[in-house]
Amino acid sequence: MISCLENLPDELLLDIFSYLSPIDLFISFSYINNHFNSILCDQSIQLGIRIAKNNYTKIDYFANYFTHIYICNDTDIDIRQFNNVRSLTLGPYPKPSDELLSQLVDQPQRYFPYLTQLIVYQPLSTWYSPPSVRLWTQLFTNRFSSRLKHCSLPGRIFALPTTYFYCPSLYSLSIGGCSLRDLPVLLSALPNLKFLSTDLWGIADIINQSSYHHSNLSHLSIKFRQQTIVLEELCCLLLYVPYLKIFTIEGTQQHNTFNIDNWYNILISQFEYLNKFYCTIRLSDSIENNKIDINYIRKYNKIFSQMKLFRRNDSLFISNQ
Amino acid sequence: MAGHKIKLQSNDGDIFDVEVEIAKLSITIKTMLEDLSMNEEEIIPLPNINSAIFKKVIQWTTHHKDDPPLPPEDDENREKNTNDISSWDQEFLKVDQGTLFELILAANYLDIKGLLDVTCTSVANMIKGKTSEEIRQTFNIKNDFTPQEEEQIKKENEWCENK
Repeated sequence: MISCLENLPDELLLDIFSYLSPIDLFISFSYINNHFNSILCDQSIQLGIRIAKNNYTKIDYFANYFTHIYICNDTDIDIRQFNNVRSLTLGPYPKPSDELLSQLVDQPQRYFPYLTQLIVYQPLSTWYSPPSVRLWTQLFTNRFSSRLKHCSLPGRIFALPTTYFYCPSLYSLSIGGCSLRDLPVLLSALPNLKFLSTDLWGIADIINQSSYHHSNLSHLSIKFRQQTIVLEELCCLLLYVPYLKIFTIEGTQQHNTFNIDNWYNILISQFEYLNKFYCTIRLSDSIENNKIDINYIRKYNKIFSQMKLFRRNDSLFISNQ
Repeated sequence: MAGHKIKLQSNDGDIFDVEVEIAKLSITIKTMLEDLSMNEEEIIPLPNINSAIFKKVIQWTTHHKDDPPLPPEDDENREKNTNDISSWDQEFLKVDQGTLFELILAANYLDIKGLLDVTCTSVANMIKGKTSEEIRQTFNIKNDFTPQEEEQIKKENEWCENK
């Protein structure tokens, strides 16, 4: 018969602790005895906290305990004290200030040596502010810890320099946008990338296309921001990533150029390894329902894990699901 | 089938006839019956639970048999809600600490998420707002720090006294 809280197995104590705010937990348990201290100080325990104005003053006593941090406070905070953080999210509400971004890019290897995931919500107005630009530069020139594997930045990349960008540690990157021309440059800077999510715009240089092939990217999610998806450009883009396994695409195409057979041929001819394809297309002109036969699309279900076609007014009219 | 019963045996030998639908609130028992193809005529042993605790478990599951399933856990909201223990559960959990901890162990072993949730919440509510010394007294926890460690802790902990 267990008569004392201390005799419960550690995993159940941790379960009970999960019902307490980290502040309550540390106030009550950090100085009880050696057993509880050893549980709370175990580096494998992941303690997360959402930092807002009303709890920040108490947190700094325990800053080193937290591994998952969401910053929801844009004033009077110094994130450089969270030296043990693994996952850091700045924003979305309020959006991080330039001051906060400046702290993030101030010797990140020194202040965030264990950081593995970084999510920064930036408002459009600060995409090109000096700290934002410095964040991109620090990220792509390997100034963050080599443990940083996953990064999400909503800003757009323009005119990447081709020479000194190189970041082999990143496995997963989600960005707000990139031009078709810059994509091979971006990919070549990230040789171990497995997942990329981005908006795409601009026109691919079909004639002078790069012979670059990325050998690790297996999951690509893109939104085409052009007026219409040009399949030749899509082909050009896809040549860069021959080892794709999962491909998600969203965009607009003129209905008179939409041809399911062409889509199928492109994907089948180029991707030996593709096993999931999610496709959402808005047709830019009005269309009669009977112009596209759902049964014809279903014939290709083996390759189209999801095919959704929308009218211009965003109403769904064909889905193979 | 409603009303159909199975036999469950506690670790002190008592056998309980429990409606299948109520017993299946325990994922452990549900798995035994479905995945391991145990015969419903067989007596299912529960070696980690005594009769007194199992009676309490049956009481709780009987009352909660028609509850909707719990929502999936949300990783974004790691801090769980500790304010909504129903009045029936509050009355049910007016037990000594030993029984409460045994209920937590039983809920964990039988994999009854709702019971584990409410018992852990109850302990968490006993912890909230207490200082380390109050926690030691409430849960009879021995302080095994050396005098030097104690002195250091007092210094570090001064801010808590004024919280």
